[in-house]
Amino acid sequence: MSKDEKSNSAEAGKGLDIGTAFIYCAQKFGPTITFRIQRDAFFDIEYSGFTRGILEKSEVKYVLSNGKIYVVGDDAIKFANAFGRNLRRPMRSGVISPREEEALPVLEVIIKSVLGEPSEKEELCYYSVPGTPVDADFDTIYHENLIKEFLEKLGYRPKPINEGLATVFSELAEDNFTGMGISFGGGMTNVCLAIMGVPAISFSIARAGDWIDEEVAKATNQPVSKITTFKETFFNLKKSEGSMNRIEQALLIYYNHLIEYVLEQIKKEFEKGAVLELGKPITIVISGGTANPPGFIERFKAILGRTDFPFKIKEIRLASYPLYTAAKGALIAAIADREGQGS
Amino acid sequence: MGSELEILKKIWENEGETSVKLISDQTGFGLDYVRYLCNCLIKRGQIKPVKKKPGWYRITAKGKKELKLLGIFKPKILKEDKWIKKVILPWPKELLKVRLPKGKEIPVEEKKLRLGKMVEKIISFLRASTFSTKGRKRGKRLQPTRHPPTKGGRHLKRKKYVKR
Repeated sequence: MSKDEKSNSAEAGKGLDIGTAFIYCAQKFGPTITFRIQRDAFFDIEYSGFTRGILEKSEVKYVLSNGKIYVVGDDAIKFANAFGRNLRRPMRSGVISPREEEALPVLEVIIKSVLGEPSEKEELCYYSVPGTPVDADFDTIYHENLIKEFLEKLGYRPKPINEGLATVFSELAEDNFTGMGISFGGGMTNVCLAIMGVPAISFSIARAGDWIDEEVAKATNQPVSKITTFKETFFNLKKSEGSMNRIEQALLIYYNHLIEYVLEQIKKEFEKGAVLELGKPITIVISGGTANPPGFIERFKAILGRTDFPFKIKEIRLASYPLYTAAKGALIAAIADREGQGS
Repeated sequence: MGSELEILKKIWENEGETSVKLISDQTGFGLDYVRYLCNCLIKRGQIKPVKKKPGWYRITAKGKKELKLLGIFKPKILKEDKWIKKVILPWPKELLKVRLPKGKEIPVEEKKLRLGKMVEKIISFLRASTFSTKGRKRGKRLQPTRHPPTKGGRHLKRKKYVKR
């Protein structure tokens, strides 16, 4: 094997970000990190040979089950918009959806599609899990164990990592892994305060991007899928309020509300828990798809400036690649753990 | 489940052949609609009309294959009475299994970022601070002495010149 081939070969250890909206898998190939992405959604259509033929010709991603065709991934959102119906999601609020009967098999297929085969026997795979929610009555134990089973079935050695901690691992190396990672995802917002890579406080808040979409859809009487597409494609928080349309105005209102709510919950948790002596001001790093629209970080800073926060802040910054942060953090943990064990 | 598939399933469940009237009773579809759907299934070669029995159809091997492909299994016959066959329809886990079409993989979007060097740097920081270094000794290696080990004595020493 030449030096060049060697440097571009896959390194063992994978990072998996199992989000409510998207599933990302990160793998290192020498100087490149490859992210494999799939939308965590599906849309069902009654089975008929004719429909199946059309889907085949159009190269739409689909799976079959129980006399139905399930269109998965990005194609599902196109179908949902075309039919004026809502998307179906295997996950809700950061965990496997109890509402969807077909959630498990569809989720399994999506995970398999991004993860692929293990590159070695029992390859180490770190997968992101949400923290315990502070404002909702459910835990993440069932979800965590079910994903573990899926990954074991695929031939991996799975280890869970808190999504907030993954953000810290990915973005706060220069701060000696000390600081706060806030991941604004689809179903949940995950918060983790770590001191030298060890999580001191971690929890999740059951409001994030999906909550914004649902509330805006209610307020504007539009399908949720349409709002999601608009938000992901066109929404810009830097745009002046006067030039915004009705959907944009509603999105802006709920974005502001989400940031205020998250900061309020963080404050509450700090007031509840033991007093932490942080010594010096800390860095806050923001990641996740909901933080992706331009102008989010400026808005976050402005709202935080008006809040009486429980600790001093050195810097607030957006992760270098907000969408890929959790997967990258999980990959870092996987490779570091593997090398640390000398395997 | 599509209407055509439902008809196909009903024919299969009724011992592989059945009449239009029975299907209509069991499904609640009108007689003409059932006849129309049966014609569609005939065109696809999934059922065939039964000879000398007008309005009766039987499932073909192609039809059975289609049902098998969709994960619909033959019901188990629990008990046979005079006229009624009590059946249990299996809606177990197997039916909820999602299956990829043969030879297909769901394509995924890929994004490549040149973050390898940066990740390596972070990993070296992280390994030093968080993860265990099981099976490795830190610091200088100890060298064995030339003398055989003595009871209770130390037979490893640092390779360092000591002035006596």
